[in-house]
Amino acid sequence: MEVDKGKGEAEETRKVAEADRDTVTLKSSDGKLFEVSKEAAARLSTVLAGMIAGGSIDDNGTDLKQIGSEALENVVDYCNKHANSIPSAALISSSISFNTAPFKEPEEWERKFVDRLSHDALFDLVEAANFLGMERLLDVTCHKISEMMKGKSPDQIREVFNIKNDYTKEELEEIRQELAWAFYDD
Amino acid sequence: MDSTPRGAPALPDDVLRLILRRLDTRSALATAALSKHWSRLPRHIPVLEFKRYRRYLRRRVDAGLDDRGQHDSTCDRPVRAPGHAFLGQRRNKLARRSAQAMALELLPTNNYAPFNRLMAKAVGDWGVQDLAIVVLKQPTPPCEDDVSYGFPHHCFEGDSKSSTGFGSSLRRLRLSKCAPLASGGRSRTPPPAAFSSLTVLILQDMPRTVRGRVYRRVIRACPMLEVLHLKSCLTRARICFDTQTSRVKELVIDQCTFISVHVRSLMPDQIHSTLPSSAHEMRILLSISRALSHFSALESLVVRFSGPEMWIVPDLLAPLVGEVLRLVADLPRSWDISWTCRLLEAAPFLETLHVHVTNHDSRVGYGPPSGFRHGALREVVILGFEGTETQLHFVSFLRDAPNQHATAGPLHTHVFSRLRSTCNDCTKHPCMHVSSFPSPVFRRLPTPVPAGSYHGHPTMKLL
Repeated sequence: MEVDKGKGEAEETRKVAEADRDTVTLKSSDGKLFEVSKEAAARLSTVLAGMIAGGSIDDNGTDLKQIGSEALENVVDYCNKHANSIPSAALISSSISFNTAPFKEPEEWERKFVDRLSHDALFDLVEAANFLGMERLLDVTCHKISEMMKGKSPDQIREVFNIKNDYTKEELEEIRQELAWAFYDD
Repeated sequence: MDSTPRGAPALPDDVLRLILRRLDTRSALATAALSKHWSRLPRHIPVLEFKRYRRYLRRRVDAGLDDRGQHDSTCDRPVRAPGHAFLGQRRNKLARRSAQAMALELLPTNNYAPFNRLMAKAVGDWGVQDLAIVVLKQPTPPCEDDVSYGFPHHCFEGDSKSSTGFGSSLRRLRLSKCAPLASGGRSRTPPPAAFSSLTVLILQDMPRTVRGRVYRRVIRACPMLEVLHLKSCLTRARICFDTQTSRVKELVIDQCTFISVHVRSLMPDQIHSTLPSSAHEMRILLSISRALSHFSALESLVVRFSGPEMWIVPDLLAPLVGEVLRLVADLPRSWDISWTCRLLEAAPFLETLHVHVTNHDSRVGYGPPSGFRHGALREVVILGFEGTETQLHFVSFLRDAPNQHATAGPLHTHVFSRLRSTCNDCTKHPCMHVSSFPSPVFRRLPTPVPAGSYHGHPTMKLL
């Protein structure tokens, strides 16, 4: 009985110590450690929020085996920048407005943030954002990728995005016929 | 692992779909040609836009391309192409699509069937709730007023019966240069089900051939309607909203040539209206006596206004609850001071009051309520001022009324008689064209507001 009680107290103090820390340490697949503010991590990533709430955060570095150090660095960088940025009041477009995509456009600093990334880094970051459940970062990176696709021919897109063309010539021609309007070059 | 080239194929399908959503319609459809994997991705395109295909069609026709090699008339031929080209509907291998909204630009043509099918498919199968149809101007219009295309509401009815069983899933509809209903339809026929679940209806650039009866039928056919915008509707019609059971919260009438708009029983939260310069007169008639008691949150207010455009406040968008800044009041035959005071009390943020006196032999009203104070009123403009005892009393009463806010400054009053283009007291507002005043209009009113009905209202508190 007493032992149990003592154990409980010890756990309690540990939890308090954990709660006192305002950063979490994340460990990339290649073993590098990154610190990020607990508040930002919990706010921006549903996965990290779940881990923090569930107490599965490791003081010595929470293993994120799926994320390379470069991508994780960008994630942490994004979290820090997001914490410093002033949130804009722009909201999803209201119901009456027709013909507007229900997306919140990336803010200026977010645009710059993804613009400076290399091609590979961008794709790594998309995957990391997807893995960590970072909705906003996923939005921003997907926006960037979609912008890279706009105005390009299928051949150009395949080249840029490294997509293998597994159509036969006839199949491709059939699709082009079917969706002729989409391929018309104005 | 690091040697694997990075790229889109490495991304999970969920992420690819997120990217697809952000592409415009043409680019999103075109991704089907990237690879088999991409063509199988279900597409959710928030806004399907079918636009800018005129040059595409012309090039096809010029090049002698024809979908099926059929020898259609030149008018029929180009339409076949986009109908199929948009849909890819002969090819079932393409992934399922869904969309929230569809915007369709229509070129005038002889054959709209492919477009009608496209719309029916979009609403019925793809789950489109917002539909915007714009009929483009014909290169050589045979007649400016010609309605070449009507909203194909019949296409949605067959669909709804088979799939959902009730009405249509269409929530928001915007029609531009496109009649919502055929003019010839009998009023006895049941209202088209396509309108049954609409909450927003925007009718824009309606030609003269769309008669008042059509508007009335459409309004009746939309029991769920909350927002109605009528813009540039060029018919000389009398529009009547028998809105006893209606849910309309916002009514915008802009650049329309309606003879009158009668809103009975119920006042929308917002009424906006501007008139084209060519309009002779227009009235929005509100039975305020009953309506005000129903609404606790009135947002902007134009009451029984009429006359040339200078009477109409160009922008009434700003006012919010209780923050009506400008009020154009076209006073009823039975106007009296108490009525105006009620309005002023109801709008404590009101800065400008325009009063259009159309009937100078108005009866001497009831006395003003004791202890009346106006809010932020700074300017009162009275047109049609005849200097009758009642009117003089009204002006002096407003001038002498205490002000709740010391910051509001002194009250300026400008009065204009029918024959003079400048203020009787000063030389302000020379832009008012008094000569173009309409003749007194309320004699033709179907139901004149009974005298003193406002006075009897216990508390017309709007806040």
